[in-house]
Amino acid sequence: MSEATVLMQGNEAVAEGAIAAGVRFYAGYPITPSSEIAEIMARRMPQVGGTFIQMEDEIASVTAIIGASMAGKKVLTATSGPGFSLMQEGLGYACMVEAPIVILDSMRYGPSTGMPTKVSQMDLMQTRWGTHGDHWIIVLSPSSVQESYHLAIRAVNLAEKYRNPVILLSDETVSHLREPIDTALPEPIIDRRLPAQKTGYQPFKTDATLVPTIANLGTGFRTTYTGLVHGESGFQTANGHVAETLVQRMRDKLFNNLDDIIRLETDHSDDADILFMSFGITARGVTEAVETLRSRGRKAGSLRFITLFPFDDDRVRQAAGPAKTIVVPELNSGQLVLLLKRVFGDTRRIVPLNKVNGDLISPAEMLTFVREENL
Amino acid sequence: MENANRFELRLTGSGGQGLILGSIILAEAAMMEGKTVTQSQVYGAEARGGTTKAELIVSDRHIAYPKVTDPDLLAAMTSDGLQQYGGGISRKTEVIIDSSVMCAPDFLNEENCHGLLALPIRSTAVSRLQSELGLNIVLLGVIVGLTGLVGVDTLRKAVGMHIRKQYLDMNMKALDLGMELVAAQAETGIRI
Repeated sequence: MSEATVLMQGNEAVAEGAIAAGVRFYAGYPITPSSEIAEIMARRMPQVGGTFIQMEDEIASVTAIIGASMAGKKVLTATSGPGFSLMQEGLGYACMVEAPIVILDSMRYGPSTGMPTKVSQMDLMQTRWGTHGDHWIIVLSPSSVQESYHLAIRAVNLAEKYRNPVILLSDETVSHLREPIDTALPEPIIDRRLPAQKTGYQPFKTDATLVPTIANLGTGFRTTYTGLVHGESGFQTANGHVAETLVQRMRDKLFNNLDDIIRLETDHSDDADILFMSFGITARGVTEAVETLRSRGRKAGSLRFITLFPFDDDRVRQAAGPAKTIVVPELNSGQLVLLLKRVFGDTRRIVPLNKVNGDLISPAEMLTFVREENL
Repeated sequence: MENANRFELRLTGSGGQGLILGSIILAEAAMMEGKTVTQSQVYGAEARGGTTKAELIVSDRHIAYPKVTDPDLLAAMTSDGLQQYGGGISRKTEVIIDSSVMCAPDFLNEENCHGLLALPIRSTAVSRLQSELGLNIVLLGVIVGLTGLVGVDTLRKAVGMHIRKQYLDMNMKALDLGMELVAAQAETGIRI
């Protein structure tokens, strides 16, 4: 272990990762199991010359970080299911005005206030479809404390690079887990591109990257932005052609760069006949189950979604290898499995393994499931 | 998973006893000795007084599943804690209970655990330190005295990282008391 190795909690790793990536504005409303992030940011933001604001609720929290982001700050807020529900309106607005923001959602048991201190993976579809209208979100899912640190940095980088909201989808267990982590910087820090000159400045005009170079507010550029459909000038329009161009561009700015955005981790998928597909904390049990099955001579493997959205069917098909049976363990009644059934249709046997009692799926439970279902 | 170099520990008791902090201190000590660790906890919505569980895995290699599934040691500081989180023990599990607050439960016997050690942890803290606050550190002394999971000097260093200076002497004494409890028990050979 290197000198930089320290024992850290998942929430602390997110806060420190965000700070390392340049986050200097945090607005939030504390909620279990994400509260430590607000607590840490209240202490750390003043230390690094940043700003911490405790807001009156989560609607205010998300709109505060959108405003700070448009004024040029790298921003973060953290919440859990009940608060994430309130943030959905602001999330859609952030998509539309192309505000680089990062929201951490630490999943607890729902719906509603559910069980605050119990783990779940019930917000997966909410990250993608929680706000209305055609929109695209980047969703990253850590399964360890070390990865919480890395992905916090990556989330800020991707938000800045593509001017798009990024959701860091953690869960109660990863948020509260303590593990040794190495805080040496893993990747370069990315800053948003800014307009070069005022002459002819159009905030939503783009080049081949399809990412606009919107000036930070207060830097002398005349910038208008709105949740209404807008042209390159930023002013509202009801022109169907402009609307179509806008929505397609917001999709393409991400989908033209899937190699950069999508990360899938595979283990023994090349020769597996049974493949576990999972994300977040559930993948930790999968690793051990696969190891045990392999030690017994069974060709087992795994695929873990580090990037959950954008979701690319072709990449998933390629990464899946030849496995005839795909087991999908998740701490909900079946959300990831819906996507996989769509991807694979009848070509593979897709078997959901769901647990909804607030506990994790242990490796032993996975092995029992494989045995009892004759997989 | 079978691994001779893996140690799984579960502490359970009442919120406010400092068991989660105790598990964090032990985790840091193990890290100082080059081990890898995962530390986790379960607690209720109560600020204090609810039943809590703190878990620690110490291993020489990467730990995939981070929760305790096959404990080497279970320490129960309240009877509620033992009732709620006493499941999942096996023939390899050493069970420690606080005899100053509970009797040995009926469901523990030679058949389902490795051994049962009943030590007056809370009453020792109260009578010798004049404070219940040292209970978690007395327990760490017991655990290290019993298992040698980490070196005593390392543990002292880790305690120092988490305890304010003005309370350090008391907590070092608490560690000693815990180890003395184990030593005294070993001398008499009395096990319940």
